[in-house]
Amino acid sequence: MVDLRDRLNHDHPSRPCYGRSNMRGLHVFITDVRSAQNKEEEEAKVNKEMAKIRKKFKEAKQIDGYARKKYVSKLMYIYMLGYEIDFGYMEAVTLLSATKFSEKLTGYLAMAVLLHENHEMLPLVIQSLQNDLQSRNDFHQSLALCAIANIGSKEMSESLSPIVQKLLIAKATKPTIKKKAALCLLRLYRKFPESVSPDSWSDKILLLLDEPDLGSLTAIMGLLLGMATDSPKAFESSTNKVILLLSKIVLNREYSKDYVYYNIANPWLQVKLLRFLSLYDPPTDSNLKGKLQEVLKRILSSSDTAKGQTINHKNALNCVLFEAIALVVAMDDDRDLIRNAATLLAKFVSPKEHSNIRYLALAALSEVASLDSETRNLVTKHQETVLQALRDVDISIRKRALDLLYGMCDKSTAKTIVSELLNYLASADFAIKEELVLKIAILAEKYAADYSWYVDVIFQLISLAGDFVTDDIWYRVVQIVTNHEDIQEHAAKLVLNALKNPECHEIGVKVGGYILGEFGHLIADNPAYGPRVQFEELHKRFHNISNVGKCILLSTYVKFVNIYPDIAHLIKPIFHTYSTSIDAETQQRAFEYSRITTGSDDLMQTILDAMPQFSERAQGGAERNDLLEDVEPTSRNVSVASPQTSGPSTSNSISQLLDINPNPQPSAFPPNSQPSTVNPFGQMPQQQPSNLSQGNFGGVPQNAGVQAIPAIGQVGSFGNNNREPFSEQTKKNSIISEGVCYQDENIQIGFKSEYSNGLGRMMLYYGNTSGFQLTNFRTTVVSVPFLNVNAQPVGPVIEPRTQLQQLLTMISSLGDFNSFPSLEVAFVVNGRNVQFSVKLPVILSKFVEPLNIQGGDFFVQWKQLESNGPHNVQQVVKSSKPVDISSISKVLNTGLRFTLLTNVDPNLNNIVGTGNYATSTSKSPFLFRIESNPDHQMYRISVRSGNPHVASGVTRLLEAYLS
Amino acid sequence: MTFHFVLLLSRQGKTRLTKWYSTFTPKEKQRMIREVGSMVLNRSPKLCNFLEYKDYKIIARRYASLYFIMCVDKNDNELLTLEITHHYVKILDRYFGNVCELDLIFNFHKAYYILDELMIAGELQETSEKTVLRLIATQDALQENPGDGGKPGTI
Repeated sequence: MVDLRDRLNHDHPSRPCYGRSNMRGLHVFITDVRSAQNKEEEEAKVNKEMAKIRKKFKEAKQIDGYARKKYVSKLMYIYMLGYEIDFGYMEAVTLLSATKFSEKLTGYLAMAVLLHENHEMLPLVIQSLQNDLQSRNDFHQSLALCAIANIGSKEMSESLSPIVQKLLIAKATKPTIKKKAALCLLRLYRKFPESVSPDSWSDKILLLLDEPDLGSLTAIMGLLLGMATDSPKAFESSTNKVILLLSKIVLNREYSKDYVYYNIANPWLQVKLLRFLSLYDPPTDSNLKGKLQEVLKRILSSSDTAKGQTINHKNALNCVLFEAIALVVAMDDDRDLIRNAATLLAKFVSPKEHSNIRYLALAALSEVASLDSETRNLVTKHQETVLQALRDVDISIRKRALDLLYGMCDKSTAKTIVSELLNYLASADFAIKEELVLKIAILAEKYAADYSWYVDVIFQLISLAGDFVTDDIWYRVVQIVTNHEDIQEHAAKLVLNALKNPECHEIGVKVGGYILGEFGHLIADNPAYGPRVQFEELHKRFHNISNVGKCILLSTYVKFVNIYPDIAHLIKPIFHTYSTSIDAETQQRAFEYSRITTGSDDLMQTILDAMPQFSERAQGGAERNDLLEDVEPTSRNVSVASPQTSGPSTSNSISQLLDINPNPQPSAFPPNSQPSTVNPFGQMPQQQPSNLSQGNFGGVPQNAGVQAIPAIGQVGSFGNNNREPFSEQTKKNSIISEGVCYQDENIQIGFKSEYSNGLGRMMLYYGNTSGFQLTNFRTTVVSVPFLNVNAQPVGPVIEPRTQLQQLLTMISSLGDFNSFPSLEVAFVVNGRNVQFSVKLPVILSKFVEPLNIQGGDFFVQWKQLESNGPHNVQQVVKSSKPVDISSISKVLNTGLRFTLLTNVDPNLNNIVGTGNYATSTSKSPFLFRIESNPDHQMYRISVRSGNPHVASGVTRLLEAYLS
Repeated sequence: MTFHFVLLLSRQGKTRLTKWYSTFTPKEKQRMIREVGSMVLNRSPKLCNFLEYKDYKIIARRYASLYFIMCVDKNDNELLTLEITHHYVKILDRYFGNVCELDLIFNFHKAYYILDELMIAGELQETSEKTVLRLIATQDALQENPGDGGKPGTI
């Protein structure tokens, strides 16, 4: 066979390339565009053609099918070149209902290229799709199924899913249609799971698996796998059949030869079957279990047959092989098989193999190593080869090798692996360094036999790749040194020596500052490490580091003043100088410290007592896991509890207040878990640091003492509690029916909602984005006076990268509209309890129905309502944006579902509208009028309704969206 | 096991075909084509065909002057995806008879509908080369037959 990889040259010498295009006009146009010498010329040609087509579409009343097809094809080509086309969509859609196949086909192709799931034209094609689906013409059915499968939306799902399901199970359906229907259904299921109930499909799928046609079977397995991944339980009954199918293909070699791909029987189907089984525990039935084992053994032993074959044969063989290995590891019930797999994989890692195979083998070995210590040992034997892969030319392979080394590391190998990784770090490229540093730090801590080794490693990290050492890493060193007396002296010497190196990184200075401040006195008796030496080594760097670093050093200095009175005279002037620093934080510290050091000695000694140990809880669980979490690049912005926030939560000692803040950073803790704020200088209201920086603290030193607390507390990541009643986010979410209402590093909460007749349904989607399992997951809905909410129970666990759904049903009633229903979410991620509350975007207007009143009647009703005093609200609003009546109208009408009446108020700057707030039993109409004053960006809102709650609720909404 | 998109790029980085199975905004699409394109085009052919990109995996292979790029889920079977590319190229080659890049430029619509016979909804649909070619041939015949309007067609 000719090697295809040499095919697909740009041109083919032996054949003038007219292709088989049966549209001459299109061919001529493409040739013309391609002859353009530069982008400008191309653009001119495209614009000219577009103008021509636009004119044709506009002028010709009866444009014939062929011409339409030709023009639509040209537009497709133009669109593919990257130009926006703003017309022609309608023409493409018209082609869908053509009777001539070639025109219909063009319509479908254009639709696939030009439209997408959320395109505004999509609702217009549903009817055509339905007609074609139900036609008796196989080709038309195929086209429709294909289109739905590729761009299907939720709306399509609702109306077309039943037809597709019927097609799929009907006996008369041909294989070509059946396979399309299966995948089409999968798309509809993914877009709108409610349209397909997995439970009802478990039996139907079982029947479909008897399909003799291997092409259809592959597609059906695609559907099964897609649905089973979401709800494995419902499809467990299919496992038996799947095992039998596998053994039929692998052991009995029963298959049509049309489905043999480079001598391998339908590798795609085999992989799907194996992948499906990996969702379940190993079969309990001994007969089936034996069969499956035999299949796996056969696959694992087949790799030798690949010698001398084409690359495609090897790939097809190996993709089945790797899938089988993944299944062996996932089931983990046959150690012999795992050993076989590990031996095989180790062979694949060798540099003699193709890089694809090495990549996959490294990834698979990580899985093997992750099972337990026995399997880890299987992998450790090949450490040398893996270390070699760490120096491969290919970044993809290096990344896999790093992952594997990280995964296979244990107590016995940690020292070797870490030192190899440190060696590699020196020469590693930028793309991998950050991950590498973090992994080394974690391994060093996790497997440290003694902590002095750990500290050594971290210092090597700082000196080799200081830029990549995150704050979390150095906070952790500080904690560990503080909590382990035996290494404090060692650490102090180490940092001082590091500081003597002129290239010491800023992170090194920060750690050095902190450690010398706390433990420098342990080595101070040695003349080579005396107080003065310590101070001078630090102060050499003072001018070249960031303000954050300066602050840390200032804290160190104040500790020096306390323990080494003989160098106090060197330090006090520094405090004095920096009391006028331009940086608020530095200034404040310097000022505080200069006051402390000139005050009474007793007070100073109490304040500057040694730091207490960090609490065990924080140390053992949360902290380190936070660091681990950082391995996932997606959670890079996780704020890790740093030394300053992890002090014992009961502590209210004064020293905490001054010492704990080497770096004011947003903390991961909710504000109320801060150490209680005891002000060492007496009763003072807590002030934000910004007030201080404005220079208003002359002679008011008291404020300064509590600075640290609000600085930490002001930016909790769970700040929802303090949110404005109507935040921008809620405002935005309240006028759309689907969106995202909460997102952080652990979880994303999306919602989809629909409302009618005083009833509402909201589907909440909880997506786990943390990379860890979320356990103990529970939610509570806190309702509000105007709403009766019923929430479906939601499961206790969310696996990484998966989603849970929860359906809320709501019934509206009359009541106070001033609050939002909220959702309390609580879960445990990686040992940490997380709890927060989210406002649900449910507002009065969701239950509003249109109310059409003719111009004259409006004033009659308006007058009628006037007499009812309190139900008649007026409010003036100042807007932050210029008055834009058309965009406001849009928000009010499409967003808030209010009915706008034109021709009532002659003044175009005013808006008059109505609505009908519906509960399941009653309707409360309301009328409103908005008068705008564009010059002053002001609005006057008047609302009248028979119900006082509705009147004030509507006013509040208008106020919120106008301001 | 899902494809998010299929992308054909020329060696100069010109887009020859894009097929999106997941929904992205036009801006996201442009950005992804740009980012993935530069990753793939700058890679030496000796390296492995797999690349990690965001939460996806990119499987790319060069055939003479064209790069075939597939974006799949991170946990998808990489080699299998790679062979789907080959399967597609094989079918194109059979169909056009010694296919070249210009065939795909002038007959972009055919490249699309051949792809549609191969995979839909981001999933592999038909793995038999013979079946795909037979279906395409019937459709071609149907297109060229001027009187294809009335009677119900069968495959």
